[in-house]
Amino acid sequence: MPQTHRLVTLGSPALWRTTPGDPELLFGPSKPLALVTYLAFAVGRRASRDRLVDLLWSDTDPEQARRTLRQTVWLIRQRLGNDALAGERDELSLGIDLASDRDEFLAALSAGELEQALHLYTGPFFASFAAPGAVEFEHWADLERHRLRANHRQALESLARRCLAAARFRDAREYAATLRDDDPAREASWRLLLECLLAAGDSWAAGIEAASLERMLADGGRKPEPATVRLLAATRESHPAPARVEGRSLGAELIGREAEFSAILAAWDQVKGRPGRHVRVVAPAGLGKTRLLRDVHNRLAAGGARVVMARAQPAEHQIAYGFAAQLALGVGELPGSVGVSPQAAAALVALAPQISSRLKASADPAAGDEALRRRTLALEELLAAVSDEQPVALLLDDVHWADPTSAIILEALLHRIAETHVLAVTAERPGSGRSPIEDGGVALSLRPLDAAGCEAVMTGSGGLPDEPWARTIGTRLARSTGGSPLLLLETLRLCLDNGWLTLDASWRCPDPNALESALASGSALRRRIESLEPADRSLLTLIACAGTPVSEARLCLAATRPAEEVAARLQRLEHGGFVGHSGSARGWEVSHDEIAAAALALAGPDAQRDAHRQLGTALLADRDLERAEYPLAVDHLVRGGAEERLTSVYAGYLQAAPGRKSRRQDETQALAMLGEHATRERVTRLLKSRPWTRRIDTGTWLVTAAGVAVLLAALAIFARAIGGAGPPTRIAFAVAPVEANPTLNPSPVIELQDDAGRRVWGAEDSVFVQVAEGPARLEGRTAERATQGRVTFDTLDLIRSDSIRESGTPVVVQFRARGMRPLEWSPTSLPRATLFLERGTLNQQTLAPPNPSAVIGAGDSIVADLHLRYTSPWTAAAVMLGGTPTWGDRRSSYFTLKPLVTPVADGHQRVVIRLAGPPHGRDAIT
Amino acid sequence: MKYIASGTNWTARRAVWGDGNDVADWTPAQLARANARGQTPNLVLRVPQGMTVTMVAATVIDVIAR
Repeated sequence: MPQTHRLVTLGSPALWRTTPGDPELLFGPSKPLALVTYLAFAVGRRASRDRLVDLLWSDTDPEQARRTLRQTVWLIRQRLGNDALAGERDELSLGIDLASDRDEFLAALSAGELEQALHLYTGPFFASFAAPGAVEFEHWADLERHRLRANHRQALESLARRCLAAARFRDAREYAATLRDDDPAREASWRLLLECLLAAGDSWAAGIEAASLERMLADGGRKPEPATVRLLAATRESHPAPARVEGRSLGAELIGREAEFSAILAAWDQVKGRPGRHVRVVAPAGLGKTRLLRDVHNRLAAGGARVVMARAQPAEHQIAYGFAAQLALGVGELPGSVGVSPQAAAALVALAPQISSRLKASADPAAGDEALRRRTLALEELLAAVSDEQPVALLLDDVHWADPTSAIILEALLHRIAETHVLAVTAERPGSGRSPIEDGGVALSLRPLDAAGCEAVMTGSGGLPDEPWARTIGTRLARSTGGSPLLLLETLRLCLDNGWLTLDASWRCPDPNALESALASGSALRRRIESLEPADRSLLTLIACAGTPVSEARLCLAATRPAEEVAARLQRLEHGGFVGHSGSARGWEVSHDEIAAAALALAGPDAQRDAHRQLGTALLADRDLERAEYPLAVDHLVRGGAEERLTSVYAGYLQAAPGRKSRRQDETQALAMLGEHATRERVTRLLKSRPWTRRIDTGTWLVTAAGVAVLLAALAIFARAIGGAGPPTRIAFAVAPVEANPTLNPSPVIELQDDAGRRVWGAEDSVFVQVAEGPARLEGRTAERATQGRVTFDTLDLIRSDSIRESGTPVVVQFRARGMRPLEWSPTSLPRATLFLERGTLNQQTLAPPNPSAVIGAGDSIVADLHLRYTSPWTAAAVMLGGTPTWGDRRSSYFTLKPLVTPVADGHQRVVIRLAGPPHGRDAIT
Repeated sequence: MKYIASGTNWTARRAVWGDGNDVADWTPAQLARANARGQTPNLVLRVPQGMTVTMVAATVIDVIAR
């Protein structure tokens, strides 16, 4: 039977004969073991007899010591065999192979197998050994112990950081805690533990550890190191990131998203030293976008990074600039924000009035496209200001819900992200129609969890027993939930709620048949909501209908229930993982869009209508309602069918706009208030609700004074105005296109108007579009039927058919409707995007427009200093200035210079270009 | 920039090079027109329309290497 020997030096030292199945202890802690150990790790596995005597028998006279050494050698040979120790002249050497945990530990470290190394390190080297005369050996063992312990600590730290980067927070905190326990006086180990706890979102545990650290430092009369001071402050200020409650201990670990998490952290590392980047995370609902962003937030914040998290809400989709304002507020909190220019500060205050507590400026009065342009530029400037000294991470969740104006601003920011020191991570659902990601950006798609991922979610909370049901649970969960982490957690919660599964340290299944039928029937989310008490379900429906975080006070108003009862019900819903608090003053929200959708579907249309009406009424009853929230309140009233309440809100609108007494202005107010819910009937009803004194404008009063006959005429006109406009007689642009490139952009919106230029709400005529003149044709839908007096052509391409050299012949596009004057539009009459060289030098040669040229030596480098003039008609677009030489590899030689401010009628830019010149001949830079 | 330099619209999802409309392949007439008018027409690949004429704001500098 083969026999090997194993030397154990870490933890309790011993030498074992490892016959398979029958290990035999040869030596415990003793001088023979110390001698073998020393020889095993000595250079050449040999040592002189004098050295060995000094090591182990320094307390006796040399002769006695040599005799004792000989006896020890004899004993070792008795146990290990005669070949175990070889004597040559005055030296002893080890003659057999010994496997040792110390060598395996070092080999694992060298191979980068840190987890294996930690597994092997079972304790300090040759601990608890002391013997008379062995002082030298103890000193040698001390040094080796110190070295191995340092290696062990380094492995712990590396592994903790590796786990942090891979979102394995549970493992990370375990390694960090071991490291801290190994040397509690070392502040760096405490810092790593705090970082891990904060990254895991466990601010409660972080607070406890921080208190322990402060106590330890105080007891030792030590001042914390600067890095410790910063982290302690971060711990005190920490609160969980805008969190969605996961409930119990399920889903504590990020499973199946480690690669995406690492990719985002890698992008962050790159942003630290390079231009900003955009990471776009795309996944359907329920696949973990928010969870991924939340974990990234915790990780970056724990490391002291400047992080801003903002989330677009479904109900805010109609609040213009809502998401952009949220973003501005978050970024405005960062150091450096006060460095923006007064103009930018004014635009930011107009965008988000609350930011005035930080930026002293009056709101910029600009409106319309000009406001959009200024606010876009202001946010760009704000981002540049806060990221000037150190990088900033923007984590923007659910951007598919962003309102249209905010979406334009976001698009512009992302196009220019490389100009900043910002990592922008956006999360959205597929098909949200956004532009492709910019050069250098990263696109990540989250996939459903597979069977192994589902199983990992379970084992993240408790071990799985070796039982038949547990061997296939991953596959069955993946099949039942489609791999959606949200549905997976809901399914597990349902199983726990019903006792089909239990969870302590490990999972148990009292009734595998019940579990099987539960998994087979699916729809765990629906069944969990159905199992709620009716009042809890009503509250959940209210929060789901709100579509945006709603405060507890408003929920009390809406639910017309006492505060204590609402608080208790919210606590129950939170415990069940249905709702969560957004972590700020914003309030309660449903934990996930999918939960909200399921709750609304179960509630039915009548309950939804009631909830909207209650919410609208509650919002308007709230004294803290801000002006920007009015559209939200109106939206709820409209959805709730509370038409009478709308009229009183409208009266408030009119009162807030004193002096506006013309019907058109009142109609404009009504349209603005109703937003996308504006219908002819609703507008007419609101106009009719006005006090009669307001329904007659100044001109009409004069007419009244003139006489009865004229009064009748005035009333006739008035009645016509209330009843609607006259028949449509002409068409006009409600939105005119700016370009045809070749899609008409923005999409033309045609309005059918009466003679007085008023929109005819009831008009449903068809509008046609055709090329009236010029070498071009239209593609897309060229005929559309009006609804509510308007027609939108959103798929129209104008394709020129002339050759490139001949291009420029005017093209006239005509919009027509039967019996109305046609409307003409010509792309050639529009402002053009142009770029001219005004003046400049190339290798110190003056460039003379309009045909600038320079002569250089073959292979010379080029330095060009160019003064450019440009026109850019596009509003709030991302217009980039760049170039491409006609020599070199065209796929890589193009270059981007800088983004241009737009729209600009007469813009000027100075750029300096440095690039390798052409080898010979004539070439061009364009 | 790669989209402009390759004469590809972003709707193509990737820059398509060497299909005759790269900026590096512009004809003398296109180059001359860019300097005269500050913009020049170019065929740009769009999806699904195919090649369409698009005006590109551009200016040109001649470099002669000897």
